[in-house]
Amino acid sequence: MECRNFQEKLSEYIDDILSPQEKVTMDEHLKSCGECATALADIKKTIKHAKNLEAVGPPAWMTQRIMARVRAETKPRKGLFQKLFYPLHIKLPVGAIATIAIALITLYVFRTIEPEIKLAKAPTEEATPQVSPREQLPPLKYEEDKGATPPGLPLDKRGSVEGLSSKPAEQPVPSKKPEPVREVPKAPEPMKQAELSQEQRRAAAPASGKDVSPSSVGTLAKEEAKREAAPAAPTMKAMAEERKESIRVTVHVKDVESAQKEIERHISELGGKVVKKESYENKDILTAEIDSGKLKELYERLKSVGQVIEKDIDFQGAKGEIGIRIEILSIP
Amino acid sequence: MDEDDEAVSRCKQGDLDAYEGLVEKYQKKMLNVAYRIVGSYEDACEIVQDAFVSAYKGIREFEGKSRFSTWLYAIVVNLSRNRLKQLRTLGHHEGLSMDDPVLTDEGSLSVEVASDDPPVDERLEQEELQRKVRDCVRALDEEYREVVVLRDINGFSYSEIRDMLRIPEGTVKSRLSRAREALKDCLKKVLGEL
Repeated sequence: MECRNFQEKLSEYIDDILSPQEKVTMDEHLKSCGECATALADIKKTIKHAKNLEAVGPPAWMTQRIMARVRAETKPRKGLFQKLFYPLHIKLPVGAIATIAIALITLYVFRTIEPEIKLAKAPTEEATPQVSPREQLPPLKYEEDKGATPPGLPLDKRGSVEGLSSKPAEQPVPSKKPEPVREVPKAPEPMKQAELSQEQRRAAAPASGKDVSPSSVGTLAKEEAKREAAPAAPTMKAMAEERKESIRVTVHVKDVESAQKEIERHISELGGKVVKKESYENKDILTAEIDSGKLKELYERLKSVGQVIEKDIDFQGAKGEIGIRIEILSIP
Repeated sequence: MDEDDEAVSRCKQGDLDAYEGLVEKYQKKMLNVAYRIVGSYEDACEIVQDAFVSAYKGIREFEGKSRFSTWLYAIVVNLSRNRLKQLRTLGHHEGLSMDDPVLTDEGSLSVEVASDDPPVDERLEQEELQRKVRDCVRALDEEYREVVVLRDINGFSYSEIRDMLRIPEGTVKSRLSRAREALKDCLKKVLGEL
């Protein structure tokens, strides 16, 4: 064996991982080679020096700190909200951007729905007649015979429920019934314009679908004036009212006040409820809700109170609770 | 059968007490491996902490092909290598040559320090010897240092070193042989006589 080969295997010889045959060969070489024996001794001393290096110990806090970090790892991760907003000193820009974005969106939404908000106030004022309509609106009067049927009052023969969603175009207005001449004394200019263009607007905004009776012209005039700002946008409340109010009946009586009380009593006896009362100079208007099954009986009772103009009401088509608008007119 | 099998399976089920037991058991040896490779006690402490945290995060993926301890030491060696790379990038750790003066914690240690003057005290002599050996180990090439640290200082077997360093066993043998030669040369320079 050559010294070079011996020194290549020296490390393995020391660690005793050579095959028995290799070991024997190296042992024999060692006996005859002083240089290789010295090399062997040097490597053994080197290893000894390395082994004798003192081991260092871990600091006392090591285990505790490791386990604290491990426990932190096992905790559930932060949610998206926490990641975005905490800690604040880092997430402040995110928060600022979010605030600006919300402000812009709010402004945009507000500007988009602003006209509807304005319109929505109109029916609210009507629905709470704390101030008498008499003080607000000028009285209306018919110049022609009071017994004549005002336009728009004849009910749709399809019944009250279908009548709820009736559109102006679908409501036949009998041509034989004369158009009443409405006189609105001292009415402001916008109000007059509203009345004049009433028919045109009805066609332009069929979604409103509300019948117009002469008796409600005062209210209508007010409503129309408000709609000047946005004629094509009916309010939600007005639409809701229309849905309830599907049957209109006019009762001519001698004493409006007592007739109104009597009709209220009949409605109450039949399980209905009066939801709105309107008083004008020569008439009162009651808006009520009543079970459709009691509609026929109510109609019969109304006949006992006064002269009921409408006669062709289809009670069969109605179902569930239904709205009814009763106009009580005084006979001169 | 690995002696740590039971503890490892408990750790996989989230038993932190079992993991704490493994930490207690292996932290000292892991610290010594890291310390001898990177040469800084503080860095070694950081490495050991990181290694245990990494091991816990990956313990569910540990398949048991090698011993758990070998797997842990492999993580430490890897993190130590990364730390050395980091130091080199930052310029904190210059490569040492056998002919360079050996840098110590106390300053520069010349290769000619071997003195004929007898040490004042045997303890001081022993401390000085320790420092010189340690500095020679630090002066080895990274590859050599790893095998010397694992085999001669910490006593791992060739097969364990093969698994930790993920190199063939033949490479371990040849690398260790050259590493010992290099260490011997350095020690002869600083000690005069071995």
